Amino acid sequence: MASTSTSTLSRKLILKSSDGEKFEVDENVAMQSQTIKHMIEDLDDINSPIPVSIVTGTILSKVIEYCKKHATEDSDSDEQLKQWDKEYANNMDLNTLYYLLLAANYMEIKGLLELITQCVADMIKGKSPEEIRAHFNIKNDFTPQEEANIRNENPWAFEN
Amino acid sequence: MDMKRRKTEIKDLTDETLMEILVRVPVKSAHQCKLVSKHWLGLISSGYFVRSYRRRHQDHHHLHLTSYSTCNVFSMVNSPSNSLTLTFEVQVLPKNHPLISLYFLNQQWPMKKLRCVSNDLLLIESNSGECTSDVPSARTLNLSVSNPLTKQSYRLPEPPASFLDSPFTEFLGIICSIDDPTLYKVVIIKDTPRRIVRRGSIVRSSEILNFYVFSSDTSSWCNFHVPAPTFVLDNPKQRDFIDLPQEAKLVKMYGKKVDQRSLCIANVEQHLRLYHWSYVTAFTKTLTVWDMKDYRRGHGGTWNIKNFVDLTSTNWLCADAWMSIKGFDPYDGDVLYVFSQENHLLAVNLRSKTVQLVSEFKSTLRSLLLRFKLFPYCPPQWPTTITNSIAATPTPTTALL
Repeated sequence: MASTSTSTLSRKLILKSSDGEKFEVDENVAMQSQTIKHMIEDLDDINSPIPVSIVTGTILSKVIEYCKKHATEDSDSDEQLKQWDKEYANNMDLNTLYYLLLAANYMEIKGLLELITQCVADMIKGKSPEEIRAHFNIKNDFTPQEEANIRNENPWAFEN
Repeated sequence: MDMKRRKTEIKDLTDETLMEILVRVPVKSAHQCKLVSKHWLGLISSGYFVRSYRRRHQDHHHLHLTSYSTCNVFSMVNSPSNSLTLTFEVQVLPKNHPLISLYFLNQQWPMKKLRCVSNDLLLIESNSGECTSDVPSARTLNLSVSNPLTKQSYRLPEPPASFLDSPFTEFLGIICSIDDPTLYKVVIIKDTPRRIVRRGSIVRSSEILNFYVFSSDTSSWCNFHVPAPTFVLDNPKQRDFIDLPQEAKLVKMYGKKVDQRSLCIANVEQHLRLYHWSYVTAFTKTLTVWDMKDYRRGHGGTWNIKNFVDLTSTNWLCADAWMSIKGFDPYDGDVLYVFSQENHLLAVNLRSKTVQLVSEFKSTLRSLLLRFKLFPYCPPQWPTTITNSIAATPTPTTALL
């Protein structure tokens, strides 16, 4: 799982997941996380592993994959990068998306947070309330009367 | 975050994260999401959510100007390519344009006048459709509130009977809440003058102003009597008067002291804005705009000069030209729309001191533009809901609260 492509110019950092897995990454990759950026500033010994306490190794590897892609400024055009983002998010199951959301939140990676929230929003878009409940496993706690009231308040939203 | 123990659910996300997701859902879908669960309904109905949604989807590239008459709705498309200079295209929208067509209103009532616009709500004064009396009831007021986006309308109940006692309407307007998408208020201020002297000297000398406030949460009118100071903002419950900036009282036009009634209050970028509603001519010499950012109920606030333009140093006007101020851009408080002598609608950027031609109007439209107000219409992406949306005529409430 550890970093493969290395640049001799950049410093290396070691990130340690909640389940003890260690990842060696370029500093500019890790610095996309505001949380890690702040941690490095306070760090005396750069060689000691940086704990990313609430993120498991499986998720951290996916986060690093994203950060690596977005750390390299050269090669890809914006269009290609968008396409990559799309495929990256589409390959995740819902459960992984939740974990990535929590991780992106904790690690303060704006781009990743934006990407995943948009991805989940796209799942909601165009679905009926019933479909949304089924997709996200949410229990309906409305009475039929309450449902009717909400519909009546916003009739335009329920027209086709 | 142990993945092995159990599956994570959407309910494990924080409310903040869930709102971050929902705020990215298109408006129609997001309204349907209210039906998902009570938790979602609570989040989507919260003021925080509505505020975030409106901020996120703020549409800076469309600004509609509407005139009094229904058939003239101009859509201005602010070119997004260059954020520094404003360039506009103006089109007269087709009658059945889905976004801002007012055609649906004509089917309900014969339209009279568009009186005021706040966010996405229009305050319309309509002709009395079902007036059975032979006596012309010229002083009754048929007001309705409409949202062209949701096609909801509501005819307001008639104001309390005392409304008819004073013939002079000082102010008629509507205001929407920023946070609560169901709350709006219609305000009418009536003057009971004791002495009327002709325009040019003392205009009114009444001591009492009558406030009639219709609130959507109570669906009824309230009536307040407020002692009239020289200048009043409509906060009758608090008797909260805000004094004018000293300089505003001293502005002179045509060499005369300006009547304070030519001062205009606007709500621009969530701040109170004060300026002289009047013609701007070469004689005017200066144009001053005040802003109040720190207004708090009961505590007043401080007026600050937002813009000061020395017109003699600009090339906006030739000696005999005049401009009529139509209002501020709701998104950019430095941009002022003016109508010029040459049939031009101009966007004047007070910050960069530049003038852009918005549109040139044909003479037929010109008379309209001259005579009537222009209302900047910039509907927020999260619409204001009109509850009790009509089909049937509501029973008039005349209770005086």
